Amino acid sequence: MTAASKAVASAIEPPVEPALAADGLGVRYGSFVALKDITLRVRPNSVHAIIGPNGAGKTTLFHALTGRVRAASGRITLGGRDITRTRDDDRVRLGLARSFQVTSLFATLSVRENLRLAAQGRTPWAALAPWRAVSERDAAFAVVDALLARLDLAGVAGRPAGELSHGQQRRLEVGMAMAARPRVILLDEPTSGMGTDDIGAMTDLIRDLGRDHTVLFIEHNMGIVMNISDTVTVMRAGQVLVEGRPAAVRDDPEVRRAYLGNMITGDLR
Amino acid sequence: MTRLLERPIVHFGLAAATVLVLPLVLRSGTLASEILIYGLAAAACNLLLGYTGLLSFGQGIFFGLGSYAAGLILLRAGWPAPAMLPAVALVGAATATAVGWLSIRRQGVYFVMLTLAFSQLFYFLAYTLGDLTGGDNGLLNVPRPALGGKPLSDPWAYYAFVAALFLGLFAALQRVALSTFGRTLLAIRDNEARASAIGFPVRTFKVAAFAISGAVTALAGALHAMLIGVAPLSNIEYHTSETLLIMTIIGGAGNLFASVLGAAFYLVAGDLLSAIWPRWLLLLGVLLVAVALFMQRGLWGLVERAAALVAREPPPEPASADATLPEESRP
Repeated sequence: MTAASKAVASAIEPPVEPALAADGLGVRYGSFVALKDITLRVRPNSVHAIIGPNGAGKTTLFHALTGRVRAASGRITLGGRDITRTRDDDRVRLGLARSFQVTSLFATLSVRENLRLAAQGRTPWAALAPWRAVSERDAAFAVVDALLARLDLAGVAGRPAGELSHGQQRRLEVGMAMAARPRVILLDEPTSGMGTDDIGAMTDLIRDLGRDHTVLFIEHNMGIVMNISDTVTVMRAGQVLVEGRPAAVRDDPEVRRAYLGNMITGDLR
Repeated sequence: MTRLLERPIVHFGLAAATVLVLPLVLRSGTLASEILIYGLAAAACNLLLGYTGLLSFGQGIFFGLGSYAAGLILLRAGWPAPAMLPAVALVGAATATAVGWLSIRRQGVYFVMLTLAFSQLFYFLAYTLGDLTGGDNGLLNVPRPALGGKPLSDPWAYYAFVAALFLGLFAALQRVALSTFGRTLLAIRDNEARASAIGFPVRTFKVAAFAISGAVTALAGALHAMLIGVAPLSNIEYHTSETLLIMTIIGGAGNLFASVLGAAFYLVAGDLLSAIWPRWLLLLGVLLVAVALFMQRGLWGLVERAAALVAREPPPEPASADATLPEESRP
């Protein structure tokens, strides 16, 4: 289904159960209100972008959705299940994984071990056994090797993650989220700091991910956002400003007048 | 050659070689036994420091408690040593679970302060409960285990007993370090936030690391009490925690055998230098400063460098050398 036909379908059919949803979500840091009354519906198998100026609360929204920070108010549901009070590690088991804006890897461990750990994170209690050795035939390694090939990291699989180039680290960062085989994958500025060549590959990867996962991503490069997203949510000052299809958001007079005009950095393909 | 030094079987081989060499180079069976006992406790300390990134000043609690529990079970309950040892391991694991569970609620400096506070708490508890612990005098007349009805009163006979337990427990600790559990601990050491974000219940893993470390440390404490025939108050003192940490850091936090090396160095140097100069701990202070400043991989790092020289390979890169110590303990 193309983005356009999906939008038409959603207009006539009864609304499908969102893969991930927030209702009236609020987050406070002390007396500072970081998020206020956020309502978000992420449709299954869609690519959903979050944009907005720095300080709009995009990363805080990710922190709240994944459970790193506690919601002060509102409700979060994953596939209809209330996860508002669920711990961050438990949310991974329910099918929610994320990557970070600032690369966050296990720097002294090999690339392969980084991915193996991320794959194991889906069944962490099995890893608690202090007598069980890591078998090379472990099912996790099938996932790991497939990811190494897909992310073009097979050549550096044995190197410590801390020694990789920036582009490789960014790919591994996204791979760590993919390794848990999540239903919903949250990517926080996956292209941050990347060179032009790497950006193209990452864009294709995100578009691909949308086929068998649900992708929610934060991005500053409007070219990527406009080209691969089914839905775009614009945030400002901890609130949702506008939500809609990319073209509608781009042409929204309020968005343009408010601030988006000079934010468009990428070209439309 | 340097590759060889990374293999666990080589580390176990070195531990076994240590057991065989100590009787050849040392005249005192007591000192040799002490090296194995403290080596075991330092390796258990390393599971927290080197593998999990937890700088715990609470190891003396488990060591001292192990000594007391061994004495009480042998003297009051009259259990034989083979039944006493598993019980002591359980006491150590249970106490470490409680101390760990409360301490890991805070991170960094506050975690360290909590373990220090618990260390003081247990010391004064032992001091106050004189009826049980003997207070200042310690718990006297702790018997040695018996073999065929005869207690192992000969130092080298007891050494053999300690050595067998040492090798068994060292192998068990190695197994833990190499398991999925141990590898997850390394991930937690590297990046706790990410470990949690990919789905690991970090607190549970840390508490489990404490429990295993506590059990082994308590066993070492029990062996020590039977060695010297007393469960002394000094075993539960803050100073014991400090000594175990120093041994671990001097040896190098990277692998378990390094801790045995650290313990051996500390005790042998102490034995030699204290005969010459009673203020020898001053020299140890200087050495510790040198380790912190110039050789963060400890004595094991020197072994690796020597091996690299012999094999004419470049030494391991400093980037990975730095990372063997947890964040808080880096300068």
